Amino acid sequence: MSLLKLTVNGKPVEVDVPESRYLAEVLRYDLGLTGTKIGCNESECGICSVIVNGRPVNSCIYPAFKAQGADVTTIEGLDKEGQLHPVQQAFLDHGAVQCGFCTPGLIMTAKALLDDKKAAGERVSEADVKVALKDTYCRCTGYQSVINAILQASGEDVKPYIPETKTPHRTVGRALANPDSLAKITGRAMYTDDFCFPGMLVGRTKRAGLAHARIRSIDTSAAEALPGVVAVLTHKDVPGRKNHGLVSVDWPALCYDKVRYAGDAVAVVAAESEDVAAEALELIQVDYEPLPVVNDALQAAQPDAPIVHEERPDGNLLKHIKVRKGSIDQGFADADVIVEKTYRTPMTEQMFLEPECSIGVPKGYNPESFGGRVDPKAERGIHFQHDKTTIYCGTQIPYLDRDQTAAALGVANEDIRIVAALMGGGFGGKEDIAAQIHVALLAERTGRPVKMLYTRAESLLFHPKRHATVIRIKTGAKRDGRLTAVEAELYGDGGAYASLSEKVMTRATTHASGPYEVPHVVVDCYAMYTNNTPCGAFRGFGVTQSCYAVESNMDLVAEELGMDPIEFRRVNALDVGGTTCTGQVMRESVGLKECIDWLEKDMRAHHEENGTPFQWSWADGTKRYAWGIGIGYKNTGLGGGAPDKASAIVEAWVEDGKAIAEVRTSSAEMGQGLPAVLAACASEELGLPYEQVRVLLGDTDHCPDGGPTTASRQTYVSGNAARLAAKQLRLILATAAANKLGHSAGELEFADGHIVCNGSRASIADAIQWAQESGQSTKIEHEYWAPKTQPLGTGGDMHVAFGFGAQAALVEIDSETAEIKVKKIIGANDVGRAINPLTLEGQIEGGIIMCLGNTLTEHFVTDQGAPWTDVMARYKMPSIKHTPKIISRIVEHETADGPFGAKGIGELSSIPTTPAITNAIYNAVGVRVYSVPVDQDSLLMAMKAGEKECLMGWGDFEPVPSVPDRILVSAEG
Amino acid sequence: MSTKTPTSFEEMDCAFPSSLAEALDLMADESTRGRPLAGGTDLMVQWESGVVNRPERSISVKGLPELMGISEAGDELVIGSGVTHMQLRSSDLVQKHVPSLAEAATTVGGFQIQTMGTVGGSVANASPAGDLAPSLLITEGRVVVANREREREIPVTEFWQGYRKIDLQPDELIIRFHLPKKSAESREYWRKLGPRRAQAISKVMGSCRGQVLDGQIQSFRVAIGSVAATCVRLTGIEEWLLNRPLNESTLAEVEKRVTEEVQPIDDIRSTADYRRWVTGRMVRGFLENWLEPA
Repeated sequence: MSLLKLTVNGKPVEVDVPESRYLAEVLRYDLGLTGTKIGCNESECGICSVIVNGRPVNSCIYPAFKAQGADVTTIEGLDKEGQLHPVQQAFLDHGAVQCGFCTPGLIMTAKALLDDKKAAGERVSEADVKVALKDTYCRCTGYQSVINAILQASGEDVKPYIPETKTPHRTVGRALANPDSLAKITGRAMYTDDFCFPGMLVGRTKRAGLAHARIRSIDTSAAEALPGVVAVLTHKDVPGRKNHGLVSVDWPALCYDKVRYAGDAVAVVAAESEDVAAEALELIQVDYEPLPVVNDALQAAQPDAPIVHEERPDGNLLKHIKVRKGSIDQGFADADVIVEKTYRTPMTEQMFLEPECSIGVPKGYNPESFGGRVDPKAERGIHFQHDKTTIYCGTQIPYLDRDQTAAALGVANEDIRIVAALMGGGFGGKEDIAAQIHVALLAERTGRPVKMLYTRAESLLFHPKRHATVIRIKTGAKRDGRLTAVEAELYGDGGAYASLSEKVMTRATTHASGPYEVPHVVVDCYAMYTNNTPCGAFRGFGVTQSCYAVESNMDLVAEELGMDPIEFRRVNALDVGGTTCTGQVMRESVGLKECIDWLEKDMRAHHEENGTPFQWSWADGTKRYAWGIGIGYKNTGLGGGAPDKASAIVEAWVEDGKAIAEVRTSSAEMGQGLPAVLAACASEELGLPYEQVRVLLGDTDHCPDGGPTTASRQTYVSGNAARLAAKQLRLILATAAANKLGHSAGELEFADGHIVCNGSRASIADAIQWAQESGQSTKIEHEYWAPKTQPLGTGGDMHVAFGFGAQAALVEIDSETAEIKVKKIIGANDVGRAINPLTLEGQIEGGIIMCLGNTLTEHFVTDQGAPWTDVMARYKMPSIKHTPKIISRIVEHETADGPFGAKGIGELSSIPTTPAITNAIYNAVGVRVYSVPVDQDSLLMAMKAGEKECLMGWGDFEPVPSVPDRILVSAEG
Repeated sequence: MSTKTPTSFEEMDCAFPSSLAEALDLMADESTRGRPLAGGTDLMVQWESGVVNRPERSISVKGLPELMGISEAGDELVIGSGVTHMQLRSSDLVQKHVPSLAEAATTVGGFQIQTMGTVGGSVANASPAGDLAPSLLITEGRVVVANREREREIPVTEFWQGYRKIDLQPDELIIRFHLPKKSAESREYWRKLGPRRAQAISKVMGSCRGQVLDGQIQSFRVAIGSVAATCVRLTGIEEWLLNRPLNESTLAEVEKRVTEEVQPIDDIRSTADYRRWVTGRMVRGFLENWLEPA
């Protein structure tokens, strides 16, 4: 320990810390400046950036003592007396803040850049921004808004990019900052690791490290004997249900018979310090009998494959999913052209920038017995009593976390409370149980709060990924361009546990004939158990994979037919009156053709601006250019017959003479802008200014169940719940006001915080008081049920609505190196109705860039169950320098039951990008890519050899056959 | 395979000397010696990820005044080992006299990495894909290292001895670099290729310095990273090119010769083929630059 003296945000501080402490740790844990975030601890993501003596540094690897005597500026030091720094203000204006976890890093790096440029008397260019921020990652925004914000802050005249939408209502349809954005840009937003409780222990997990093995014995005695260790738990200490799982209950909280993937949890430790906890893990002795490993879905389907779950009747088959429509033989008999190809997609990683963190607080916890009190920032306006086992965590499904934890502890659901903190991104990766059960067990055993913060390596090892798939697809069409048949066979690598595999692969299956009118369809999908990391939800939910295959085949068929790819899609595009492959008749809200029209218009406009006629491809020196397009659709809501509901409370009160309404629901904000949507819905109904509506999410003791934040469903279901609760509240207020004003309730107009009628005028605050005085409650809970849906295979409405999207990509390929640059993306999306165009645009741009990564760089590599991708540096995700120009078009074909006509967008934008880019690559250089991410090396080799097909993928050492043998015969036949 | 134990909180002795003499004193004695740590952008990450075991001690050399500064000494630039990538790329002297080095420094990471990382650290890290290595090699400059007793000079071309292996004794620190300036008539170029598959050895990059007079190649030096265990000079190619006319037949022949001369590590079949091919194109592309006015 030594004395470290710093000046932090202008104030001198002294702190006695170990010499090996990093600056980020000092700031966060010793000085309580939690605005500085840690994303990787490997100098990769840049979000921990702070400014030391005028220079930006990655504080996660910056030895604190290197800053001895230095002047340190953190995000908390930027705003002065309530006045935001210009960079902060610009981020707010441009919506360049979503989950907010990377935001401090982006802002601090940008500030350093602007300061440098100002000192040099230079203007800031887009190129400067891209160089300076290329190692500061953001997984939500897609960077276009970030670039614009920084340019604006530098003094350039750059307006926020907000696509045109319908004429707004009072609040709905307006571009407004998310209510929590201010806290996020000033470093005050609280994520789980920012909470600190007196007496808190460090929790750690002993992971299997083996992909498949039988457990002979577990010996924890040496670990328990280590001074500083407070508890070591194994499966024997799980008093209730041993397994958890969102669909199938097959995932052990702590393994007892076998380990089925390298990230399996075998024991957990609570200790006084991180060092002791780490040492304790080393002392836990597990005797394993190694078993042969199931490496991928195709191997899993072989009759002699090792079995991952012996207790299951169907071997490694997790689920066989079928779609049948018409007569497939007839369909291919009718076809003039048939194309059959096989495509492969890899496992990919959400790489949310906030690693998983959970804190368990035991029932009856009193901070004063540990010489302190709860951090007042943790109270969030609620007086905190830990009268039950409480878990603080970032989660997409608070109520299922609660119920699964209760089952493991063997207590009633109501005996557990989940307090959802803000989430630094989720993208589907925070739906399954992480450490929630572990910290609850440890907290109850030790009687002390226990925090488990996963390292990036542990996060990569543990959490469910996007399914690797092999998709064989056969498409038939007539000479006139009409599709006659689609037959597809999909193999999905579900990994070691079911997670959401069944649901994800169902979506891949039901979307496998594309958003087209196809009379004859057969799709078989085999979700398989393997010894890889479990696969589950990831933005796009299976459709990202099947869309790539569908749309690649569409271009191949168009070429065979000699038809323009746009025209070919237009001929077949679903429209009102059309029928999907599952037999759902589209009665309304199908804006697909309008989306396609936009692509054509904008591609042509691009050439008109450059004074050239439209062309699909052209060359300039060694560079090849081409456009490619992809069309996609994505269900809104759970569908498939699942009960789909959300509840919300809207409560109104008067505070400092002003009416305040608060929307409460246990849905999750992970950067997608849900609070903005909920606030807009309530504000619209109540006629209350947006700023006077607050949102509280995810506290299971205060917020009713909003259901899972998945399936692009929250705007639809929770938006409706908030809207309808607000509507009922308005009726109460109207009745109270009508009595006072002498009008009938129906005559009253609610707007701008007032109630008006024929010259009478009262404030909503007055109405709230009048209602309360008359004994009326101004707290309304509404449970919204989405329209009923039908299970797959029974025809009818499988989903309540679909979002439709079309994208065009302009790529540049270097003919000598096969380097690929995406120069421009045009994206048109039918969202039903834009509730907030600013946050909507964030979802669209972020989805596009994420899917660009899926196409060109992202691959979670494993070998025999061992992840090669074990640090962030080994996972290449798009940085700011990859960001193309994005043109966004909003199409609004309202859906009757959606709030104000809205349907989901969260996933749609991340679906057609991949085929748009790979189709563009084909158009540019004449080589079709059958495996993503695109392997630049193999592409170049194919180009040089004059081959038309590129079959090698990132993980391949040898070329693979284009059509693997049909190998699986399912139990269901 | 084993799961990694994160080490972020592990105790490690860190020394923060305030002068070079103090640092060399610490390095002189085995009991106080530690792993020299400059910007930490490579080392911290390697320790953190478990690729390299964390040493018991480290000695911070970042910002030692004796290691800073960029100056001229006759026909040479003298660059302190503690100079950051940001200082390199912004230096008028570097931009003028070893322009490919300034350009290479620009591509090293984003703002933070450029601010933290140093030329000495990059050289000591000895990655076959070190961004600065090609530009240092083509200058035929010298590395100056020192221990408490003396300084020692090593030609840059001999400093990297093998994969991640450098000519540095346990008690020595890298002090500075002496880099001969390019002549007014000569030109330098730098190129780094875009992203490739994750498991493959990193991006291919290269630098060249040369002079062409009346269509004839007077001098040409070229170094390429990522095609061997260290960044390499293609001396056979350089010799072959000397005094040849810069025309299409030379370009075609040199491209062919390069693909024969480089021997990339055959990690993944396609990537070895790829690197051989693009190295040929890169060298050809460098020479083609002289067909255009400067």
